[in-house]
Amino acid sequence: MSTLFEFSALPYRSLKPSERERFESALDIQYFANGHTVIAAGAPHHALLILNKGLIAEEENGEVLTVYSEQETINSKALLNETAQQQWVAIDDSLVFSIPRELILELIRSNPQFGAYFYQDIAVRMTALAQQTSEENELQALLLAPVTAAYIHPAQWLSADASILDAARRMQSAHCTAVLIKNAEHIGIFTQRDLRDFVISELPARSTAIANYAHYRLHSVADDEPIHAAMLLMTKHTISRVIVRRADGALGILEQVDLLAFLTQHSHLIQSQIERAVSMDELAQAWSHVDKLIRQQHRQGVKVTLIADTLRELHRKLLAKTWQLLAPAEISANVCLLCLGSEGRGEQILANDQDNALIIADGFEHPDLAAICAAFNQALIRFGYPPCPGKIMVNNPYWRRTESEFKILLDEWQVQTHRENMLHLAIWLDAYPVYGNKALFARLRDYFYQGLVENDSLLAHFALPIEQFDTPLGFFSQLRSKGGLLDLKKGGIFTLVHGIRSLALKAKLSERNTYRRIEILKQKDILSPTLASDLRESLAYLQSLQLKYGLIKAQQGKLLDYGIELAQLTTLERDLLKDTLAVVKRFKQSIAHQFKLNTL
Amino acid sequence: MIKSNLQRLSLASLMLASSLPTWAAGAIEGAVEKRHDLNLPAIVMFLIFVAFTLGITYWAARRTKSAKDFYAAGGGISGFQNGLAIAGDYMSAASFLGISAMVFGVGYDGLIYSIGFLVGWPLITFLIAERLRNLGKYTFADVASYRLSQTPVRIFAATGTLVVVALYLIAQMVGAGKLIQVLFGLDYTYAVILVGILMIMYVTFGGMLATTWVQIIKAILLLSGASFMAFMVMKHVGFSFETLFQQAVAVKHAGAEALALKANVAAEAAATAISSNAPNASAAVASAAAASKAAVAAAKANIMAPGGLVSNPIDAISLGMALMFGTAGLPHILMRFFTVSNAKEARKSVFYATGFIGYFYILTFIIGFGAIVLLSGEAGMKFKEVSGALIGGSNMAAIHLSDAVGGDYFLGFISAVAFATILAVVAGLTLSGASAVSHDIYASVIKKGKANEADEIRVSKLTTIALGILAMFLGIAFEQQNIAFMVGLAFSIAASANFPVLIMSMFWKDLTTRGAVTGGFVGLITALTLIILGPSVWVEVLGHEKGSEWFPYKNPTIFSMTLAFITIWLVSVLDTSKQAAEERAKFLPQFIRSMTGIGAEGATDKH
Repeated sequence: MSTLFEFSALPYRSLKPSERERFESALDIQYFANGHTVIAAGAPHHALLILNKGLIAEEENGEVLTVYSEQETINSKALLNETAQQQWVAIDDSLVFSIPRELILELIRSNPQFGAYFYQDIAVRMTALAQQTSEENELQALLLAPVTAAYIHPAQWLSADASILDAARRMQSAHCTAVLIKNAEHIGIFTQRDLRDFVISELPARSTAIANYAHYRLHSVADDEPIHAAMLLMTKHTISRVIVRRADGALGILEQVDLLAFLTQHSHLIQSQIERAVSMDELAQAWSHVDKLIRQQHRQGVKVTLIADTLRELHRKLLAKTWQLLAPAEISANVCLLCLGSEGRGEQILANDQDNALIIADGFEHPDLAAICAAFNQALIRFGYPPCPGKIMVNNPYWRRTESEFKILLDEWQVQTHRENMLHLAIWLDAYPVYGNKALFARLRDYFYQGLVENDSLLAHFALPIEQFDTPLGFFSQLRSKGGLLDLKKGGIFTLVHGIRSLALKAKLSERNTYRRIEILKQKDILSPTLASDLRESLAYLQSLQLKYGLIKAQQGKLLDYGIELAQLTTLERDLLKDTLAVVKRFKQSIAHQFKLNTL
Repeated sequence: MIKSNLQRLSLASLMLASSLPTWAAGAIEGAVEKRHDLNLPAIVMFLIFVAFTLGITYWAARRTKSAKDFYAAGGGISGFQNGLAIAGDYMSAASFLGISAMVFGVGYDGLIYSIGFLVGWPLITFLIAERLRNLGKYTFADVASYRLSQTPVRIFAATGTLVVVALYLIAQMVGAGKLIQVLFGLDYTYAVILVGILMIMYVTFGGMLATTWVQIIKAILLLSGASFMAFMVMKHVGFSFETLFQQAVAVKHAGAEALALKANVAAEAAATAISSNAPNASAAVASAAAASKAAVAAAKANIMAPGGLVSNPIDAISLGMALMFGTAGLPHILMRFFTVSNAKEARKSVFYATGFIGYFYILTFIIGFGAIVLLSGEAGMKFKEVSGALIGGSNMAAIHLSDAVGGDYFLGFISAVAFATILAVVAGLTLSGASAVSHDIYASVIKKGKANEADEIRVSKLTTIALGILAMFLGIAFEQQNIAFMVGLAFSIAASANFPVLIMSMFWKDLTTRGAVTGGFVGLITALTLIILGPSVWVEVLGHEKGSEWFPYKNPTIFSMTLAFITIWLVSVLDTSKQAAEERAKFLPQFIRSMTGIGAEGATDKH
């Protein structure tokens, strides 16, 4: 790894790109063997020291005050005072970054957030950092959020004379782990644990009343109380759920697992929330956590392809559930909802737009279908998917057709190879059936690939758009930008995705994901192993840049697009971007040659 | 292996090329005298316009000029645009310079080329364009190997393509070489070498400069330049064809009279010599006889009647067949049906192309006659050598005419357009030749489809260089030939080798690989051999004695094409192999697809 310094730790995260650059260029590395003194007591501190590897102890009068581990700054206070009575000793072989004192002082002056860390006591320091969404800060914010921010299960009520069997059935049908009963004066709760205990007692479930086994000492919180109150309650009483009293008198249940998941934003939690949602509001509530989940995974350094894998499932679940909530089952049995484009490929992390289509079984008609489709697109817009600028959405009759109409369309795309059709075909090739009668899609896909005869003209017209956008890499491999902005999609992502898609069409692969396509093309000897791995890495890198700067944009409340400001990039990011674009350029030439684009 | 061979080949050719001027200059008979004074305004204009044209083509070839977004609609090439592009591909400098020169020389018979080139188009419209587009194939090799066995068909197709490309290239080389020679006063040999190097650079470094838009722009420039010339000619004769033809006839008549006068003088001299028993009497008699023969020929020649160029019916029919059927076998034309988005547009584009090309040939006809009129008499003297021949040969008639009607600046413009046209045509030709070698031979046959992309590109570039060098040699050897005639030879190869295989593979279900390859090669070899043994190469290029040619006709097509068809039929019918049966079975799906554009599976499934 050539990256020298990890800026994600405090307080260095608050440094601006230009400052980071200066910081990095002034960076020095020192090595201290185990037992060697790093700085003697009373010696001047000319540089700020940050431990990279190893262990260093801070000692005073032979007494160890603190032991510093990796990524910790060991002499921030002493640096400001210039000397200290303490001494620092390596207690393991250690590598230390050192940055000249002058630079640090300058940065402290120019960057108040950074300076705060050095100057103030802890309380003031926290306030300074609160302006920034740091991890700690976010955790704090989470703990202070009202309990309703977490997922609250609607209470499942049973009558007081219900049997244990009724309770078990309800738990199964409502996917819940506890039911509530109400007798004359009390409210009681019957949980899975109670059910387990009952089973062990070997009594008949059908005839035993639940009332005798429920607990009536309930712990509850009001819905405006902070999460940490609920957490405290759970810890104090070693219980795994608390009752939430809504302002309108209704009750809900907060499960410990949901609470923890809320704090860690687990994806499967969001997933199950989506699955359990019975209204658009609940769905929106569930989906609202996704943004945090992405941020968190990104911050933890999860590779962009893995984040995409997680998100793929979530996106598809959301689409399916949205449709399910809107359309009655009789419709769903006769249609198939598709997600297309990047969504279909499973490469959409931040929702850039929505591409969807609907196949309708031949002969099926329903008066509400158009309205449902419109509502579907509206719902997605509410969830944060901007409408597709090319109107590739189910509310557009072009993308809502019967199976035979789609067949005609698929034939037309092959014969009428103008630009628009090629674009549609490209989007279609990435289609994934999300919900409904998936056989409709399977038949169409088979129809398409069977009818697809080797057609060089089609392939050339199909591949042509990769020449539409210039790769922003100059003759001397300098990065080119328009007003400091570089469009990652036009500059590289599209070229890679579409080039691979063209090869996939030529090889008749029904695979959708670009990485999977690359893998299969490699196995079929269409891509050489080195080219395949270059393409994979390049695409992943561009997507990670897009994610990183997309998140920053989203945070600033800006509209999501693919533009990144070159000035924001670190030196390392720039270099990698250059290498990546060189791969893109090479790949583009190879596609142009293979598909004879120079004849068009 | 092929790579090292190619490298060696290109190296050898380079060495040859560098040592070439000395022997070549000596070997070529009657190298035209240089133009004595440099026409500076014309040269400046030429350079500016060449730069401008190249700039515009570069701009046109860029696809990224508009920051169009992903969903922006349209942007495809329409049938009209593609028609212009086809016209641009077809209206090479060869037809512009060559046909006008032919009309300038022989009058009416020059039309045979115009008409021949033109009538090939309806044939393409009705028989080929739509079907080719439906099949989605764009080289002759791809179509032919659609249901036939890849390896032999590709070897044949690549060979046929290369021969056609080479012959076609010669015409362009001669045109460009002459142009540079006249304009810059360079020696022809150096001019051709210079042009060759420029062409190689243009194609190898220029990237995709054969794109549709390049051809469109080229067509527009050439059409407007030629229109202007024709307009000026017509203005000169008061917009009356009658006057134009009368004046032309008068010019020719005056020429014949001058010759008759000369013959009389020679006859008198001979008579005096004989009567005085002079020692050179027999020589004087011979020269008198020659002069009178020339005078009789000139007097007999009627530029308003047929027979000036092709006097015997076999040659006429043969040439006509070559021109009509050859177009469909030209590799760089077939590619153009690929550009449009559907079969209907393909048909439309041929319709428009036919219109443009027809109009263009009318222009060349006017230009040819205009040249007869305007390059004669006192005013025409500055365009002629002392001997009375045009400077740079008759191929330069149109160029001189541009000077006569538009002055130095227009001369520069027309030369630049002609030159840029040649470059663009050469780019298209070389690309198809290079792709025949790199794709059909190297990747498909030698590497069995497992070729490395980079190697394929390298082979393609090496082929380009090799073709360029070959074209230089041939360009020097064929200096004296009329350009349109050279193109006619390329057409006769295309009509004898490529066309029969192409047409049979699309329309005859019993065609087999064996039949196609044997018949195709028979056509190719017959045509090539008869051309070499015929008068134009055997006598005029190889310098054998007149009358010693083995084959009396200038154009072999009537024999070679017929032979090709017969062989294809015979061999296919006699082919009873299992493979042949399989290939016949594959005809129906191909046929359905060529008619509908949809795969047979799709077509039957669709109810």
